[in-house]
Amino acid sequence: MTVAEDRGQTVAAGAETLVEARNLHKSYGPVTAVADLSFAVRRGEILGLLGPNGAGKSTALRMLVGFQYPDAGRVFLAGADVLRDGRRARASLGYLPESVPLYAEMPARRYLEFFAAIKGVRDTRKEIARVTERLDLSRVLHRPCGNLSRGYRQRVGLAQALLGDPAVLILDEPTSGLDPNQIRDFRLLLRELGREKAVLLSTHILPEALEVCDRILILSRGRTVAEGSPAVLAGGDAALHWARFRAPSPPPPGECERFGLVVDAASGSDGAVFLRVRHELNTDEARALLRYALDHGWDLREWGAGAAGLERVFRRLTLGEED
Amino acid sequence: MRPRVILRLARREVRALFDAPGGPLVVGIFWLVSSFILVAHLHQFRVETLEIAQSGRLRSGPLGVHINDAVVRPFLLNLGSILVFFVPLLTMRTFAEERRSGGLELLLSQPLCGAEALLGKFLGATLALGACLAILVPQGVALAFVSHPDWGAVGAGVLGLICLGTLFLAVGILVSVLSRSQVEAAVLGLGTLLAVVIGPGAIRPSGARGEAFVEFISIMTRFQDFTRGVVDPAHLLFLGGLTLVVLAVALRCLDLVRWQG
Repeated sequence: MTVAEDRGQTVAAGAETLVEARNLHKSYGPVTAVADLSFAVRRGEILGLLGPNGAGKSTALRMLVGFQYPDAGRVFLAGADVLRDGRRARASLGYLPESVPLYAEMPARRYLEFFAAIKGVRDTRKEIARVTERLDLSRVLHRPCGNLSRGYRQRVGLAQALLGDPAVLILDEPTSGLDPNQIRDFRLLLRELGREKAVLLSTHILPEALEVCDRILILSRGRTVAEGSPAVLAGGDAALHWARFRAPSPPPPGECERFGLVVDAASGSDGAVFLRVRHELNTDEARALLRYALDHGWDLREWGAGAAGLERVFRRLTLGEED
Repeated sequence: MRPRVILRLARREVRALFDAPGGPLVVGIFWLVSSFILVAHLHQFRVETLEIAQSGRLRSGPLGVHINDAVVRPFLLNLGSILVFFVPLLTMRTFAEERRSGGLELLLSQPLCGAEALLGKFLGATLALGACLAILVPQGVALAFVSHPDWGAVGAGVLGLICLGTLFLAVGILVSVLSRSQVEAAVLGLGTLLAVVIGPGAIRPSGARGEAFVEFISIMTRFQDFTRGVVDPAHLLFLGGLTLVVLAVALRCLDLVRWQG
């Protein structure tokens, strides 16, 4: 099953709200990092927090996990107030910060034992076996964290977050530094985790948000500028397709104009060319282009749907660019 | 407050210190320096007693100069002074390094309170100081072989040294909470401890009340009483209370760090 197929699930109506941010506000001197941020994440839901650098994502996450105190507003994790009942609130939290701070000199097993003890996990050995099996970490448990590759470091960090089977997972840029295989595995794992837990995922990677998240919240200059399902934010299915073809010869200019095609490069001495669509196409245009390509013997080299629309929305909302 | 969590944090602190090459190096250098100071004092003591014996000034008592006054007391006073330089090296990484690496963010997102984190790190640093001061045991044994010190006075001096060391640790941890790097924490810690130790001596008060106040706040004056074999409950209360006050300030500063981000 692919991640995309797996995305068929929906969050059960009336599912328990596990993360709730109410009117969060945080300033650093004259600079407002987060302003009036409110949202909720329910059990079985993955919420993607998107935004450019400096949008306030990390500040928002730090307030959610109780590391930073908000100037105003409240945060509830599994019903407990992070400020007033921090220990109980954080008992239901698994957090993976962006930098994955591991203790370099500590073997991975000892690192996990340490956090299991802090979290009050009863059967540490069994719990570590559970998370390491799930993340395929058994082979590196004896190695000092400082000697691990980026991918393994990320996985050890995630294993730490999963210790104690928390109901809430907050992950800051969890796939940065992972290779494509690891990213794919990670996204599958995230979808699996997202069935039982409330997951808040901060990411820069729009296709990732589109592929994994049930809902997306876009932050810009500390404020929520958009919130909704990926499809709705991307403008529905209407503007989501892009493609690349190899054609035996350049099509007439009129056809290029009709489908918004541009010649990317010549592919060899036979006169064949690579073509790509200049703008995303709506479903009807995409269908027509596919039919034309098939009729004219073009090879389909690349086809995508989704992120381009979201990217356009993202740029418009965060940079003020028009379509 | 959960003692199990505090102990676990303390254990990690000690391991982190000794897994890195810097920790054993600091302890090793402390052992070497303190042993050198002890040997130097013992040598001086031997020379002085020989001179006294040769000059025929030997009157009451076996040698006229007691080992506690000639060796133990100046040795412990010197150790108290060198702690000013060593303690910041033991505390510099406690919070500053965690803050720099992002570890503090992860630690404080765990189900523990700030006081548990602070006490765990304080206890860890205290154990590391204990490793430094452990050299006093073989040094005491060596002393017992060459002379007959007043062990009660020695014990009082060591107690004073431990009180002084834990107060210094609290100051070092406070500085580490406020610092963004280990180097900054070490330098600021050293500067603060020097000010704490030298500061009262540099004040020239006018009047008896002023002098009494300077004596009251002088940590080293109180430590000197310990090295004389005097265990004054007021001194214990003062040093212990001050340590708690500094830790409370450190906890408040940790809170401020979380407000400021």
